[in-house]
Amino acid sequence: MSRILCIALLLVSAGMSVAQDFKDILVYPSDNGKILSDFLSEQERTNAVDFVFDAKKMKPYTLVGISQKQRLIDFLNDYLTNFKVFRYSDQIIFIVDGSTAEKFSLKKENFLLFDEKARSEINLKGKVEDGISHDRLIGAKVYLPRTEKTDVTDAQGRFNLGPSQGDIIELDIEYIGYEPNHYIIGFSPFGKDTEISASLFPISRELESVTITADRVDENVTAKITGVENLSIANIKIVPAFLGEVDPIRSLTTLPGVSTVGELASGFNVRGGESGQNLVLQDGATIYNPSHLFGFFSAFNSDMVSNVTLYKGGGPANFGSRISSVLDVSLRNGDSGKHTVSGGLGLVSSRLSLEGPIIRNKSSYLVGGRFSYCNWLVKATDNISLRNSAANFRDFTGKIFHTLNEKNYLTLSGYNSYDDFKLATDSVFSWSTSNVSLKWDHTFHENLFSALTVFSSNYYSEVHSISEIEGFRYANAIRSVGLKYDVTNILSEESKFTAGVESTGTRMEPGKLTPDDQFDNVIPQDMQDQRSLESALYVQWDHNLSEKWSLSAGLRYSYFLRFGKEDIYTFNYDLPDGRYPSIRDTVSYNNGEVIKRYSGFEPRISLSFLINTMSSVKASYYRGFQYLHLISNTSSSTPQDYWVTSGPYLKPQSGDQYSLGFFRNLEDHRYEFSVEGFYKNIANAVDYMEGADITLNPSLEAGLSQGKGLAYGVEVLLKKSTGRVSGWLAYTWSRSLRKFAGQRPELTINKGEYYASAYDQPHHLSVILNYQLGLRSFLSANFNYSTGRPITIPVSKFSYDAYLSVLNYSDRNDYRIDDYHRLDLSLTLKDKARNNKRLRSEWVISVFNVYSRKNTYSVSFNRYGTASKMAVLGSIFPSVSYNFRF
Amino acid sequence: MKRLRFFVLFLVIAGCVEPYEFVVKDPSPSLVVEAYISDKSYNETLAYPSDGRYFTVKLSETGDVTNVRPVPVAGAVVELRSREGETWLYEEGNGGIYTLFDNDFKARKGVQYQLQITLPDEHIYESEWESMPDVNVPPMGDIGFKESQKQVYVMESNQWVLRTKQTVIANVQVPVNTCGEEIHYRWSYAPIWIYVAPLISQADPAYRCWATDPYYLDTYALQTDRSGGYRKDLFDLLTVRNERIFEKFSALVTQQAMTQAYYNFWKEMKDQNEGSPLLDTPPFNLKTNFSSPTGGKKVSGYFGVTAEQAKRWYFDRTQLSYYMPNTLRADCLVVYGPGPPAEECTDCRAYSFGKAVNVKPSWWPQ
Repeated sequence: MSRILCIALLLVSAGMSVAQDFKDILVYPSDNGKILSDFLSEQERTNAVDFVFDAKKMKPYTLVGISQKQRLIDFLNDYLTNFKVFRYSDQIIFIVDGSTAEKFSLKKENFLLFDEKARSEINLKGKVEDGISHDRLIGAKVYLPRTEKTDVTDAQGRFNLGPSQGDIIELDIEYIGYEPNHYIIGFSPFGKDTEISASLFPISRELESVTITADRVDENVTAKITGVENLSIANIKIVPAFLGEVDPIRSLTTLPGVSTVGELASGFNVRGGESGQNLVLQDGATIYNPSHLFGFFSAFNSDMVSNVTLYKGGGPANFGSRISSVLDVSLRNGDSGKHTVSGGLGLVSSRLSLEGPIIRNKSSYLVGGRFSYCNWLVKATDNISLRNSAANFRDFTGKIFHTLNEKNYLTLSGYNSYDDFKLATDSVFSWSTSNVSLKWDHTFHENLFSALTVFSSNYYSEVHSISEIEGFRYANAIRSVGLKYDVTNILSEESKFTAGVESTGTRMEPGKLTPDDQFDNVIPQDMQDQRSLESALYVQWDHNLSEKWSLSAGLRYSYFLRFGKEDIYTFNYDLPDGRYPSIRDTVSYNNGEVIKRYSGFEPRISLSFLINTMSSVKASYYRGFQYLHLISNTSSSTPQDYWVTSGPYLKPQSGDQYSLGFFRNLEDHRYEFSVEGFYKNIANAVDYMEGADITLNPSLEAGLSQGKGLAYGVEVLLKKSTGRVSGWLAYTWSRSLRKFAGQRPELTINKGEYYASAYDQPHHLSVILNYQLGLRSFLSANFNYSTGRPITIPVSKFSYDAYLSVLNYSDRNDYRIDDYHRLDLSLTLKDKARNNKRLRSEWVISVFNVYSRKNTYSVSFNRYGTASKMAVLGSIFPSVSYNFRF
Repeated sequence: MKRLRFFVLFLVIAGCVEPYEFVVKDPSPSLVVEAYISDKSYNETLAYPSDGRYFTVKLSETGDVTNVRPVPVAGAVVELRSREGETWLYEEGNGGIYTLFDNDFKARKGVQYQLQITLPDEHIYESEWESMPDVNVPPMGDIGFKESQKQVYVMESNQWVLRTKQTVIANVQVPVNTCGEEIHYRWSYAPIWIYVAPLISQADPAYRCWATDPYYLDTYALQTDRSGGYRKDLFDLLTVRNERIFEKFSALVTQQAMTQAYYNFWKEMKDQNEGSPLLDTPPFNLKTNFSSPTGGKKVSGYFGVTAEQAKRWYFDRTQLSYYMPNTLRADCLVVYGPGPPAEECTDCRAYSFGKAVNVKPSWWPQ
């Protein structure tokens, strides 16, 4: 009996001391004056409960105003007016400040409780998934608003914010198209959570439009690398679109340091570089011509793009091969939870994309295509020359994402496009691209992962001269196959290390002429294919040296081989054949035999100094080699560009770029301001010599001159990202010069003095304004101005023998065409979202070239030297398009 | 919808192509020199047979690109010099033409010549020292022809349609090259043909004329030869309804062998004017071998020394393997409206496709 009594007493006493409920904890007038935090700690010890609160915030508070015995929880609710007291369980109470509590309705799932032992330095990591489909969400932004520490979920939907400290930690997770989640993380002896597993749900209610990027709000100031432009789809979409088609490249050209030489220009120019000096990647595969339809549309289907990053330099060491810039475009993964159709209908083109699960929650597909049908416009007229004009494009993009297991993921991306056009001539210009890339992401452990990408890029362009007498097809092509493998190790929150290797084999067809018919008027010609292999090893180290200083350093070693089978001419420079040296001999190289080797180190370093939380100074240096050269006939009114490889007579180009910038955010990061200067030296820049025959010339390389390139300038950006009115103003002053003083007089251009390159446009201004009219509508405006591009013109003429008109030309690029400027407007009207309605749609009404500026695309000269300019769209051009998703 | 369509069309069309003008920074003209000498004197050219040719120097100024007519340069002193100390003075004529009236002068192989021009502003312009090509040029081959067909667009019922037309292609036999060196040839043509007025008596002085047209066959052919032994096509003649071959057609084919630099000058001029058969070529300036030691203006043009030969080629429709009717009379009898037939039907001197005279050249065969 005594034993039973003892046990009962033990149980009662234990119940009194351990299992006491919060409502049984009382405060008395005698407690007045005690320090609240100490008092709560005392209660934790005596009542086996836990109060989770921020000790620093609670420190000023003492118990006052207790006139009679009352429950502690009632006292806290009445007394802590700036706080919210949330009863998490019978044993645990969270005390959070009111501003935090306002961010969400206080629900238990918003609180996470970690073991008290982890308080000293918890490693915040976890995963983010779709709350319905449970698919992992890639690219979700996870950040700590108090410390502004940010991470983005990887291909497995995982994130790792690294060590964090504090009694209470707030955590926000955002993902485009989903309701954001907010978490409060506390520490308690009763805590059991070890990592964060977040489920986001698609937006089902109407939200005011927000711009969500994967960047920190202070990215402008804190990013380690200079010259990086990261455009989210949200930002891309606010630039008024021509014919309603959102375009990443057109949006990029509104940023400082990025320009095009005008309408119909293929590609873009970065900091005075040629378009061929930009590496354009889509999911790792190179796109050699990123333009559709006179450059009005880019190769990228915005419905399928996840992120667009432009490195105005070379970027980190895992990128190379080009000396001006890298444009890295990532396609998004398809929805692995449900099937979705989206698209858009426009006046001259439409697009459609489908996505959905292949194996639910394991693999997904995303396929989409665009095609144009603008010929109905021109065919509807009796104007003969216009009826003879035509332009078409179509493209197809696809991506399959498959989860092998939690540590292995496969991504297969494909892209195919075709373009053709003719402008009241008998020649049809066409080009096509076929790319495939396969990527395997592997996680060794949470801080060590790798990516293996195998890719193939094929580009083919052709001029088809339609003539019953002298019809021909002139084609050139480039085909490349390569692989890239890199391993990334996150050494600590402050340090990340990447190492990798890549190799690309390329086969070029510099020119092939095929007659259309049996007549002998055109003689078939086929220039020898050029074969090369470009390989590289690289390491990249990103490290925060201190709270103020951070470093991003990389080293790349590239190695280039040109190999046979090929016949290489040797030249006799003492015996000219016209302006070319005569061919002395031919050296035949067998299949695989090395013709020429080049190699070099490509260091790059970027140093950032954080002056304060709102401003920083950054400096960088970049060196790169480029082994493939784009030869452009810049005087042509038609696209006549083709690629050649470095070899015995053509050295690789190298670029050294220095930049220094000041970055400043204003008014709580609502405004971003930056001013950045750059200076770029290019060695072995390529241009054609005077009188060079660059078409189907077996001695082509002897007609190309190599010299110096020099570009320098200042870029200014003022950006407002939030509020009813947002947008940016970008101004660039820059020069892009060339100097060719060859060893032979023929290779000297403009007397060996510096002259403006074809891309030299000293002043470039872009103003983008976005005005939120209401919850579902916004008005956008885009104004562009740039100095007219340089041109070589006939300055006089004379008659000679049988010819009435022989032209004398100016020095190369000694004149300029008119300045370019244009204003576009667009109005986007979105429909109202309803929970029971899957269809979401929007109308985009755009007005291109509002004040009908006849901007010059090209200036051509007839045989008598008379100039005429062509403006592709010389008038106001309104359009309407309808975009949908269901 | 229809209105919208045409509105959009209007916008597209409205912005297409329009004239464009540049303001030239330095509009001051350059001097243009057109000159050559050869190893055939005036007297020797008479034996081609031809009316004879003196060596001339044509001086003009470049004009701006909107200017049509060349601007002749008058008052210049033009002198030809040889390394051996000889000098010859050109006499000024009309239109900036300076002529070396020396019936026996001809260039000698192995001798270097220089052309010196002094303009009224006392600036001196000199060519480089030039000489005939250092090769033994074989005798000029015979001129012949081959029948061919040519696809041409013709206007029929207000539409351009493709038609096959009969032609003859005149060609020259390039002799076997035994010297082992490249020979750079240029052939030019001086055509002349008989035109008869079909509606008048053969006894009428206005019945038969000899016609020339400076713009007909005003081209040239170029060839760098390494082997010889083949026929080089020169020019073609349509045979259908081509009145030039109804009676008799003749062309003096002059062959010049020249230095590679002079050859390239002609080749680049041809390329610049006729364009690439394929794609646009980047603009370029022709080379010149003139400079001004006194700092004068820029110079365009070239002074060349050539090895010259010539042959006269005769052709008429009876040489064709097929029958080609003379359609002149039938065409003149077609009544297009009130009034008499075209004047050229009754007076050969009124020929509308060239300049016609009723005086037979002294060398014209009987």
